Amino acid sequence: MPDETDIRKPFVDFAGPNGTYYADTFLSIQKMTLSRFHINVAALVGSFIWAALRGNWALFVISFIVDLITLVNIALVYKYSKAAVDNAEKSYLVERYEGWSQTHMIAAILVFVLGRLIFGWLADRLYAVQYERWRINRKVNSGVVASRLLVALLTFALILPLLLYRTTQFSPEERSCIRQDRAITQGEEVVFKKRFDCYFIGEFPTLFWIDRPDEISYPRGEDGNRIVKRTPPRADAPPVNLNTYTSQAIDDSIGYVTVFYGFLFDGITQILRAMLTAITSVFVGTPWPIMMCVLLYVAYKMAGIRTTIFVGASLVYLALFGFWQTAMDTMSLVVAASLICFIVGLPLGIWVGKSERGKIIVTPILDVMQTIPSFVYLLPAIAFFSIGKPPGILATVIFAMPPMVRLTALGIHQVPENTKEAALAFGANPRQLLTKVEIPLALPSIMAGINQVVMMSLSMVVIAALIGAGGMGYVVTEALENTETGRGVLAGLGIALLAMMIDRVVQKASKARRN
Amino acid sequence: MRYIKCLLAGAVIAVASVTGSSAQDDVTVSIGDLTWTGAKAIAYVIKAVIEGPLDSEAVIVEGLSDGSVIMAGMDKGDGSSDVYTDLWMPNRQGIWDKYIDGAQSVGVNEPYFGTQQMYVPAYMADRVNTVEHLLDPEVAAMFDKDGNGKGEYWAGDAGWKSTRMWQVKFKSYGLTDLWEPEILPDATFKAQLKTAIQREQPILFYYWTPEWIHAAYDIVAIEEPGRTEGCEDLHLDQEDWLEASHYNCATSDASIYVAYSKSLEDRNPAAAKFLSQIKLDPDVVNQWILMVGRDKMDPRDVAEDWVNDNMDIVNGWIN
Amino acid sequence: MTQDQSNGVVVTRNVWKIFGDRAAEAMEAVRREDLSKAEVLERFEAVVGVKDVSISVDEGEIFCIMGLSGSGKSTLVRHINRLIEPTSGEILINGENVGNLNAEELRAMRADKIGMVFQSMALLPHRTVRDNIAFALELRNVDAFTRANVAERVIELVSLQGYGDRMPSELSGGMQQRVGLARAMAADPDILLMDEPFSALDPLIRRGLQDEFLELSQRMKKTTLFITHDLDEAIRMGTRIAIMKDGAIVQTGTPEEIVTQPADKYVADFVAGISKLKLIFAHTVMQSVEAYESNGKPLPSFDDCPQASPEDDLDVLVGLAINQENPIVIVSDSKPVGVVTKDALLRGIQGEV
Repeated sequence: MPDETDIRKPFVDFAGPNGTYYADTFLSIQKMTLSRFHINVAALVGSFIWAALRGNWALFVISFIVDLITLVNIALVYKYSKAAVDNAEKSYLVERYEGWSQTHMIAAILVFVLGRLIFGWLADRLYAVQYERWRINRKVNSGVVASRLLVALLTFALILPLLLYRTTQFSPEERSCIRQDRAITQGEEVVFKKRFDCYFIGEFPTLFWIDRPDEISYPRGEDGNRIVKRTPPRADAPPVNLNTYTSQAIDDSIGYVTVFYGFLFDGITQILRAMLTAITSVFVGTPWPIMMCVLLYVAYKMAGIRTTIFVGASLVYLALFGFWQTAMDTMSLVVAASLICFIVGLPLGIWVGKSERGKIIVTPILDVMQTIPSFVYLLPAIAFFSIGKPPGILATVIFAMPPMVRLTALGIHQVPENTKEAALAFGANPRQLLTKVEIPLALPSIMAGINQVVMMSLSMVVIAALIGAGGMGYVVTEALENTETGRGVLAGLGIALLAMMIDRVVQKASKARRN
Repeated sequence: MRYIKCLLAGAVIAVASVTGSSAQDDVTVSIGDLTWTGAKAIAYVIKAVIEGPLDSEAVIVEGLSDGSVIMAGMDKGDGSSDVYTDLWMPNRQGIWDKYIDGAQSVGVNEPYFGTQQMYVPAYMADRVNTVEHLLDPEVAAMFDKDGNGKGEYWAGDAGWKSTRMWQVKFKSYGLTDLWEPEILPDATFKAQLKTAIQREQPILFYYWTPEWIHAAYDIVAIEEPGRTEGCEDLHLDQEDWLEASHYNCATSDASIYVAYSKSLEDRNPAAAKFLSQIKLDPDVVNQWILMVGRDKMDPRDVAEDWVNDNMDIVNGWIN
Repeated sequence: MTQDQSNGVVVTRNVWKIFGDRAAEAMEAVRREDLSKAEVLERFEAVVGVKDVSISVDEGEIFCIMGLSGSGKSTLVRHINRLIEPTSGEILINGENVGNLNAEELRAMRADKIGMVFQSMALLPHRTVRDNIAFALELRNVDAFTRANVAERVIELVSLQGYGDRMPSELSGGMQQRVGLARAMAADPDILLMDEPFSALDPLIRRGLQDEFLELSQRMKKTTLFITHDLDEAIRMGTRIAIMKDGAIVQTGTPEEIVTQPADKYVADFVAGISKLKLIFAHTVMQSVEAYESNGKPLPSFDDCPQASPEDDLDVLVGLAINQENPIVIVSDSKPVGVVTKDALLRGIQGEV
């Protein structure tokens, strides 16, 4: 049994002033005898000053935030009480502001009392954690150091005034700031407060204004060919900000490309249309009894009897509710999109999986493809590929291809090094390595990719319907536009069943392959 | 870390209780955010009048663009939506019957009038300018984009009654073997129209006045036979609407209303009075539409400036 | 190694391998200044994998390369079929410089001349045992019929009859490694590279496979480079053993040489725990008859003494010495050539000769 003072010595060394208190507390924490309601009164009172002195920045941030929220709420109480007085003639405003002011008062008290209590409760417990770290690394803050207080007060002094000012003022409207900006450029005097408010407590200020760009049109020249005609903006047209200027430039380039290189896109549109026509003729052109049998047979061969029953039930649903043709129409769209995703995504995925450069180039593009709202590329798609199914397919491809690339890359990447090495040691050339080792071993992952592609394609059909791709998506949009909820639900369920059918079959099939 | 979570949770609750209180007040007039330019321009003018001369409050609820949803909110009368800025009749007959004639929870002002016609770009006008021309298979073939042997025309968006109306008309003119409708949102169609005109491609489409595209593009209306007794017989809400309906003459002018929730009469009587008295002039609306849609001016500026410059008209609405 | 190295089937000459972006630079510096491994790491952030290794493997022998993990033995063996390119030095196979082969020649050499067995087996899980075995042939575009025939023959060789149509995942670890061995032998290569082939197996199965491989090797006469971290295994399998440490070869020799004459303390520590009974032979521990008699003790008549030949190992000698007063006489060509006393025998067992 070591001497009691020996046990306490490291605690005292760590804590410095008031060492005995902390030694007692830390000891009882270690013995797990600390009272459940133990509170450090010094911390409770001292708040972030205590935390700063003790050098525990986690506690500092917590207490700082508690005190700031309290102060902000008090400031808001002041702001709304004042607003209530200022708008005394409008009873509804008075009522509203007084209500808000009360709520903030309650919030201020609540945050302050609860926050401080929780902080006091946390203080010793987190301080003990700091002690544990200090035991491992003596550079961890220990004791009480006055210079830390300086840092804390500086932080407080930097943050507080602007924050309090921001909360006590009604922030200016973006538009009035723009007007004010123009007024300033025209040499008008604007009071400092207004300038300050626009720069610091509202929207990020517009730092510079750009002259409005020329209007661009493409009339026919004297020889009958299209020419680019620039019309300068009206003399009194106000300058524009960076956003407007750039978006105008994007519009102009899209316009330029469609006018002068539209025929290139027409070619792609024709190819897509031909491909889709071929697929559609299979799905829609085949009479439903034959098509249904074929689908059931495929399901049975690939995924067994239980899945076939599910597929059968889903097909019956689609047929009974009059969705057969529409569903097959959608199927053709999904199959065409998935096919393109596969053809493009597989080699891309292999490249990403094998080459670090490929990964660096492609990954951000995939991220953008997956997260950019589809409406953003739907409208340009119309400019290039017109209305109807081809742009619908392309929009679907953009959205649905990333998982194909990612999962292929993952699969290729996960092929064990030693298996590849063995193949090389037996004289495989790069093509053989790919076809005989890497792709077969990545196959489960590739199949998962295809599955994802199909599911995501189906989730795009509603959006594709907005540019005239038709199918089940159109049924849904039309139903919703007419507030025919029931019809929308039925069609939506049809889409879900289509997706689940394909998913179950593909999953079962790839599982069967693996075993 | 567990402790910190507790604390954060506490802070979040406190903050939520603060922000939660700033929900919509009773007096605030919530205006629907319909997608076409005319509706938008009117919405901003209404907002400007309520916030300016009426010295009350109005918000345009972003994304509240679905006609049926706006109407349902107005019917409820809880302040979630109060104004439907551009109610086209008879295109929205269903809504009219349900809420204005039926539940009587929604009031309307005195309408202004708009026209609805089929259009082609001016560069097509020498080939196509009457319904007779549309009967020419060669003409239809020119408009055939997807190669299925039928020309396409834009009939409107899904859910607009006019979309069905144009399908009925094409049937009644005997055009169904040569033409098929494209049913797309207005924004999608406008993108298509812009490209088609840039590339000088054929395009046949439904449009209406007042709208800015008449000023932005050189387009020509297709001439339809004059109206005769019994030429219009529409049953667009029936299951077999296409077979049951008949319409083989020019479209009558549409009446365009501002509809408002009658709950405003209790919540904000001044605004309710204003909305029932507002009288829009198609030329003025067209002027707003041009500034907003074609000249890309800030609709708030357009509305506020107009209100400031035309206080005499506005005073007529609010007194 | 004083013999002419170019006589070996596999010869490496001053092979260096330095890993890292600045390997060439590091190589220059090493040549100039004779840096240690740690210095290279510090100055060039490069790791010395193989350090100036020259070996020569004779036809038909099993050449064991023994070293602990990180000693560079696996790296070295991968130079032989150029899975790894040397930073400097050259590798000859049957006198041909491997470094001069173009890609196609290299693949041909890998497929036809060199078979490799891996510690991790590295079988293709989506192919049957037979297709795995015939993999090298398939890569050389051999027709399916021939492949099946060859595979069947090799399957018998490794006693896997009846498993040809199974998938690797259905086989035990030991059987999988037989498949690995069969795959390496399918193309009937001259050279086998075995990279710790039995390390991942449990001891009993390992022992069985070692015996089988020794037996197979005596029949097939393949030149084998056998990597192991287990000195027991090296001694059991190796015709000769090279001991590697930190990328360099510390000692090369027959098992007996390694055990009886460790080159340095590192090797000595290694061999300390090794049973010498089967490694040390009578000729090593015996003393001449004259030396025995010079101690003043006359040798009893030969008929009273147990007799052994010079090639008998200690195990045999111990058997003879039990219940025997007289020393063992070593007889060669029916003539006594030496005497092993009990003291000498005990010393021999300790390894001190």
